[in-house]
Amino acid sequence: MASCTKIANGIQAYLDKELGHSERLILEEHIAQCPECAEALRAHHTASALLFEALAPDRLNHSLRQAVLDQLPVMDKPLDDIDAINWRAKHPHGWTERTARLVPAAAIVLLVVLTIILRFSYPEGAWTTAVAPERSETVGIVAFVSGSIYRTPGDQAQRLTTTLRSFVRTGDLFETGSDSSLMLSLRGESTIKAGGDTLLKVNDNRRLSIDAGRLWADVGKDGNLFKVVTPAGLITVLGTAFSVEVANDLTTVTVERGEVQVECGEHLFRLGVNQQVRVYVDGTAEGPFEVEAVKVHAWAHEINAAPQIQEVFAEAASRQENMTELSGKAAFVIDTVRDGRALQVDVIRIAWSNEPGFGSYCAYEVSVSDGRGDLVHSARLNGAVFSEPGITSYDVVLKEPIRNKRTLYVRLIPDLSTGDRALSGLEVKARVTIRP
Amino acid sequence: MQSENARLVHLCLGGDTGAFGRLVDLYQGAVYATAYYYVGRHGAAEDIAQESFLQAYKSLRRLKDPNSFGPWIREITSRTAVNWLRRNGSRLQSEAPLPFERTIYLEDARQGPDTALERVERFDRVLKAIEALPERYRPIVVLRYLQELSYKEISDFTGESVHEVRGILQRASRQLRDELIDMKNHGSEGQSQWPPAQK
Repeated sequence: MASCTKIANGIQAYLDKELGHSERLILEEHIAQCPECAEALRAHHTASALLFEALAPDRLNHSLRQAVLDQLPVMDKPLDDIDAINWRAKHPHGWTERTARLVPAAAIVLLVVLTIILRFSYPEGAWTTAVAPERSETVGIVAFVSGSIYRTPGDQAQRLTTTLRSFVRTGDLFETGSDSSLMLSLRGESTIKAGGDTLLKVNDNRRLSIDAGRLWADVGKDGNLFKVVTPAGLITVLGTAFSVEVANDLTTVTVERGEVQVECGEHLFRLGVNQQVRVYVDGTAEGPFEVEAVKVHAWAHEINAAPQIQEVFAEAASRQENMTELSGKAAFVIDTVRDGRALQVDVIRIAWSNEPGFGSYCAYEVSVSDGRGDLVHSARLNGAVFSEPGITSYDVVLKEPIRNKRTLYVRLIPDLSTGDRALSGLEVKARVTIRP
Repeated sequence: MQSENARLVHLCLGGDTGAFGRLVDLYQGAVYATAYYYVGRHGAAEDIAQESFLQAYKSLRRLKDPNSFGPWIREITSRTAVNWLRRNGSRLQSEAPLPFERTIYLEDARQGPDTALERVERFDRVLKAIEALPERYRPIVVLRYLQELSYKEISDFTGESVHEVRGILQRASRQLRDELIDMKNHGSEGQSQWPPAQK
């Protein structure tokens, strides 16, 4: 027979006729044999009926369709943007049928000629791909380490050793060895301490996941909820100090200051100071119990931040914010060095993925600068370029090839006044000449 | 449902108002219930629902992902309702202002003062029980119990998964049951759980 906990978790869905066939049969069979669950079902039924009954007089019982349709204005036609008109003016399609028939043959001839020219002009050509900007964001700093601590960045599979004062980025997964401990200072004045054998993921500065081990958190108030996902359920916090310990199937939550909400299966606990609950992955729970939270958290109070760590982080964060502002979202770094020499670049290719969607593409400003930040080339790409079916790249031909620059920064800045759609899947490559 | 939404949005952008009518059919219950959740009055909620659909139609070109029409119009409805509350000088203490005072409707009063009073009292206690729920649960409870929306419809409108909607309604119903069940005994079965008044 199914457990009463499992049945309790399906009672409301059963009443709402949202259970699958087999789940429904299991529940009905259980209810027939278990007077306690039958009573729970009756109580849920009564409460649901009361809710429906009380709200029924205010239910919307007629259609709003006609009232809405009567007021609809005429749908605006999409505006033909000036860029698109210019593009079409420059690329007229006034082909005669006869000329059009010659196109395939002419294209083949042109292709052969171009291949020959390119083969001899560029003895060894190659494309070097730019490095896409990192998407994760810095949300904190490692404030204390002891023992062996590893960090796996969200966008890599590589496990790195963590050192004091290294940055914490969104998506980072921390693993602590036995007898090790770790402290993180997160943006929004939150402090997280982790004990040994802990697996802790930083989703962002207000969201953590813990799969094993223990953490203690002192959460700063910034108006947003702080959430910890555990194998047994979700913990929601607003300005408080508390701990979470995960050991196999059992998750223990203890509150030292403030208030914490724990959601697990059908249980919802609101814990106050010196209260503890134990929740299990199968949805069962025990508590709340009264405990001395400071004693439970003695391990965490032995971990203290390295001196001046907040100042280091504040300064680094502000430096980084300035940098982000300058480089923008679509900044690409091209490393032109091969075998210790900077190669000559003559074409920058911008590629994008053409995804279905609505609206017109905006124009892009392309600027290429060298390692010192001096502008070496700039161009403007018309929004209509990106709307051409089948076209997913554009070559920016440089008037003068760029020589002796070891690093190039290519920035693509959308001009949102010209369209409402930005490019996705951007890639930047540079064509270089390798001389023997 | 999602690809159906994308198709309807596409037709609307081409000027097919019938397609927008179909979107109104699909979402009116959810939009109305969300407006009601904010303002707590039948008439005002209906006005806000209509206004929200009009706003959605006017800004349909700005909808980036037509498959997310549900969460998008939910956002528009919340904004329209909050603006309505501002315009009407109602108090707006948090993001989740359930309505809190209720006058006796004429049709209630016709059934005699006792029935009308009972009904008002029952309504107030149900609202208080909903108010005691965590903020994240309340709009979903109103969608379910005011308009009887299915879990799938709620999921499509809120962007939460069906599994999450089921979990929320299960946890909410357990708390609501604990809050309301004495009242039922008190109200319909005549077995008062309240201690008799002392002189």
